[in-house]
Amino acid sequence: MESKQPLLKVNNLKTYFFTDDGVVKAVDGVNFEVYPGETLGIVGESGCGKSVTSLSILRLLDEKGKIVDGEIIFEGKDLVKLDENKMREIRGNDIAMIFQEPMVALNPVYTVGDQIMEAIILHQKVHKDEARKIAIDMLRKVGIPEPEKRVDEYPHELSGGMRQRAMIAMALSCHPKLLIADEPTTALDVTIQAQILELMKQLQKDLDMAIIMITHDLGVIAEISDRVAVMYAGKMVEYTDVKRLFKNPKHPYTWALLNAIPRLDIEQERLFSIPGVVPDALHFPSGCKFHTRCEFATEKCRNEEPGLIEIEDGHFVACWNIEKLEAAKDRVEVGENK
Amino acid sequence: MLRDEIKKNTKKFFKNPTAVLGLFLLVFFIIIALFAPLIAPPKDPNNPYRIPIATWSLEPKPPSPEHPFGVIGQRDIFYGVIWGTRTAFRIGLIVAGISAIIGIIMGSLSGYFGGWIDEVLMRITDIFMSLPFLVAAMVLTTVLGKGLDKVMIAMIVFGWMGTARLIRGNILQVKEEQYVLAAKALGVRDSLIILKHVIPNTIFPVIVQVSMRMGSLVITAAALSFLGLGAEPGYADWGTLLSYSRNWLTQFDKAWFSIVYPGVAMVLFVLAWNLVGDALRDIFDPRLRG
Repeated sequence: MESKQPLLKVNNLKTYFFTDDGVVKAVDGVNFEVYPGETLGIVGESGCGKSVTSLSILRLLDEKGKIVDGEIIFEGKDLVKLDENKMREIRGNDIAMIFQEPMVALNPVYTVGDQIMEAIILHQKVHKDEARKIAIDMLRKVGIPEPEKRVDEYPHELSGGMRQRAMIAMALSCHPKLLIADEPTTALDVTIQAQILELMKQLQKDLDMAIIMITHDLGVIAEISDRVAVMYAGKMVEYTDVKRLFKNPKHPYTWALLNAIPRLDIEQERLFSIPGVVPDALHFPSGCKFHTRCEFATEKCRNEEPGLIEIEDGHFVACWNIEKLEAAKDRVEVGENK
Repeated sequence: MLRDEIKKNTKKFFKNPTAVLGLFLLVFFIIIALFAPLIAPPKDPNNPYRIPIATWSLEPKPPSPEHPFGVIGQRDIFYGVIWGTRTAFRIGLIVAGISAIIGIIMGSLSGYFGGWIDEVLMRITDIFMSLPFLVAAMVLTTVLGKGLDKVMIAMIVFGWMGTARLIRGNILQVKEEQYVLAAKALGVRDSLIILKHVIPNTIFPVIVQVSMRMGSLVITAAALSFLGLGAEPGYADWGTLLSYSRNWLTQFDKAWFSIVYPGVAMVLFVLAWNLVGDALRDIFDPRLRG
């Protein structure tokens, strides 16, 4: 992987929101790379900054949000410095995005076909009839039955799963090199979720594109990701490949998240949950932001913020107490074996 | 595709009995307005809106073959009602149309740009809204002078705020919709987003509101006429006819026809626009499509 050039490289990205109540450091120094054809999962609780990260990449933040520092290098260009016209050419064409709520991400007054064609006509400069053909083709590709008929239907005439498929068709209609999927399956029921993930994997292979999968669902991460970034309170706390993350989490937060997944293979009286809530973004704690909820927190954690350190090849963790966590893991293992 | 859509909507329109009733009434009024010169030939073709003097007696005359709706204030009510239809359409179309345009401009500027533009325009709107409509219209008409056109100006000046508020609110809401963000993520430019995604989702409530106002404005104009601020005496206008009956309020049996005939015309006119407005909403609003 080292030999390949990353498609997208995010360096020290800081996105702050300047609200009336103060500055919200929604994303505070995030680094990651996405290589061509791979899937990077970004996982974290609500409000940890994962959606803001994705909106920052496409520069779709509202007036209050600003990228204050860092660079977003996409194919050698820094997207932070690009002017709006150049940026618009990238949106939808090179980088596309799909959203959480397929119910509201399609405009109710246009047919599905109109909306897919909008992007095609815009970026590929083709005639309307040609665009329509491409749109029907795209709908077929995402597994919508009778695409010739569906293309003229309005969003409300489609089910949730169908709408998400239509959204995917719309996002992929210009064959983007990078697809940002912001919780694409959260609003869908479980069986449809699996179908959509399967479809995305299939399309990723067919179109050879990279995906950034943003989710709070570790199941989705396990299903689709190659590498994972775990975010907490605007910071990245752990960054590694998916196997190592699930087998050998090094950050207490990741470990706690994994423990919070219900398991069928062991007897559990009650489900583990992380005590407390994500801290208020206006008043982040000092030091390590997780220390208020971390069972291993020490004086050092309260005062000094740990940096992201590569503890083994390609495994980054931001924690002062990696050894303590290892000891705790052993304890739990022993306890399980009893 | 478009033809199918129109076909489907027309079919839907005609399946709705109240919509058909509304359309029927509206067509009926349009025909009356168009054929007014044939139904009630004017004595002075150069000045058809002036109701000719029918009698020199000041007493109201009940309906007779010669004056089918009776006579009030020396004027033939039938003639007034027929030609008043034209006046009603004129008031409705011009006032509702122009005030809607002003409202749309004010509201959309506020909604799109926000910030200080929104602040300034909305405070202006608030000032206009804080003035009691009838009082403000009365003052303005008094300043401008008597006449129907002056009343219409007053109604436009103090009648655009509702539309402005409506469209601003809608735009603020639509601006936050995910499909706007989705369109941005596809690289659609702002002007196109406003034109293709924001306006179509905000304009329908305005169209419905305008069509409903067409009717109610006639009542407002009548109210102003009744207060003596409307058209000059003898002008073919339903409100003016009603104002003649002011002197006979205590003797309803003597002047009932002067209230009933223009009143019924007015009620049916308002009803027609309301029913059509409702039907338009059912058709235009895709969220109500099924």
